[in-house]
Amino acid sequence: MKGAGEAGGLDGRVALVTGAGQGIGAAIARRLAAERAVVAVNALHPEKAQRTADQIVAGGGRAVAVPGDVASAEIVDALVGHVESAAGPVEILVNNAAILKMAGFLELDPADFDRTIDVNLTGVMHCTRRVLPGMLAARWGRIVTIASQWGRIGAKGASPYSAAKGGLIAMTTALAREVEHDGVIVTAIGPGTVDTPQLNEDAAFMGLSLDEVRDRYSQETLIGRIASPEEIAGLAVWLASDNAVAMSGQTVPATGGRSE
Amino acid sequence: MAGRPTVVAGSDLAVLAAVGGQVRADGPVIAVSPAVRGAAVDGFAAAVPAAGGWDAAAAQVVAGWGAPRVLITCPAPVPRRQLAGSGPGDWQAALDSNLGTAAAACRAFAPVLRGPGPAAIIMLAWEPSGGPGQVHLAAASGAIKLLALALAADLGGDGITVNAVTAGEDDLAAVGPVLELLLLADAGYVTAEVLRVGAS
Repeated sequence: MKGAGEAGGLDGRVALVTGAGQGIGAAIARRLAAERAVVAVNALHPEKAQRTADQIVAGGGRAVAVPGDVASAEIVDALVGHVESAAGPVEILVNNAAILKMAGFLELDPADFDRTIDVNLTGVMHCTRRVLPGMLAARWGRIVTIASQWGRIGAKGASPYSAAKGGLIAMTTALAREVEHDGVIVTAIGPGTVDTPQLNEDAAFMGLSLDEVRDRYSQETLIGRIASPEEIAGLAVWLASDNAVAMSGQTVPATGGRSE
Repeated sequence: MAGRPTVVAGSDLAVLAAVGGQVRADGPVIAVSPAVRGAAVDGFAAAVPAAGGWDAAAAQVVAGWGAPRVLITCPAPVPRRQLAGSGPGDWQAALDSNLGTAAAACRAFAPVLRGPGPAAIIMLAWEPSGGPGQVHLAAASGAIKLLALALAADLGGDGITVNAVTAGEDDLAAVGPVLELLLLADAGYVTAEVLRVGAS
């Protein structure tokens, strides 16, 4: 089995990773930089975007922070414009930005439902729509979306999140069919539970400690553990590479065998 | 130092050769099949006959090259034949050459795949095209997919991932990248899944 460094064709490519201030997104940004891509680091909070970018630069990579809310088409237009000015057209888009507020459907504030859809689903549309024309013109592009196992099976206390992620999975296949013959490969990953700060929210919703949540989720898998952000990053970077053509339109599930 | 071997097992040598040529591995790639008659099959470092039993073949692989880290099972061609016009022999042949071979290979090699380090079983199966005359193929392939899911539950605690990959009969030459993805060091959290070649 092969380790890091096997993803081909990323040297000098310009990548935009949304939601890269922490967790999976930050791990993807770091891994892309390790593959010698020029990474634009997006996060809602400027200090988080800058922190990830600084880590990459300190490690010898190339990165620029482009903070902003992906739910706003105007902000997305501006931040992509900044990337284009600083590094060139975006060739790799990793749609990772997402929010999750755990609450029962009837207890959920409708505004929170709307905000989750706006960020997790519509935000992907904004980013994709902004960078896709450049990819089509270049006849090379990679769009990797971080969906979720909950987008396949739904989850208690996560109705808008599940709906948004389900939409992403379907959108991935639909968009792939539109653009795969023009050199743009669209794929997704459907992670199960990943060891990120999001687990704190899950723990609060369940009334458990963080360690108890980790144990519970681990026991629900076939392999007895939750995933690391770096594992998901490794898959994402492979899907961003020249190797990914055969996976066009697919959502790669990474659940540890978890089915519920 | 060469890595641990990859075993590509199946009933049909042409399919084995097509798949084996797409496997990128640090160690030797070895063909194991009841159809092996000599020591060579195109595209493989070595070939081991399984006509004398899969357990004996597994023992021969371990003795010659060490414990494998990866087992890839391959489907065998299934003639198109409508169920109403076929006999029990057609049904049994489709199951034996596909499901039976995959199960026998897993039964023999799973014990030697166990540690140290991660290991993987990838079970290839045909994706029915939807045309007529594919009942036998569909049944055999569907069974392999569910065998992979069930086996993943049995072997997950041993650090062995088990996944199925389906490909249309014309897509076999494009299976390499999917195998590569499943064999990444970072793919250890991908198990009990069915991936398709040429999905969209």
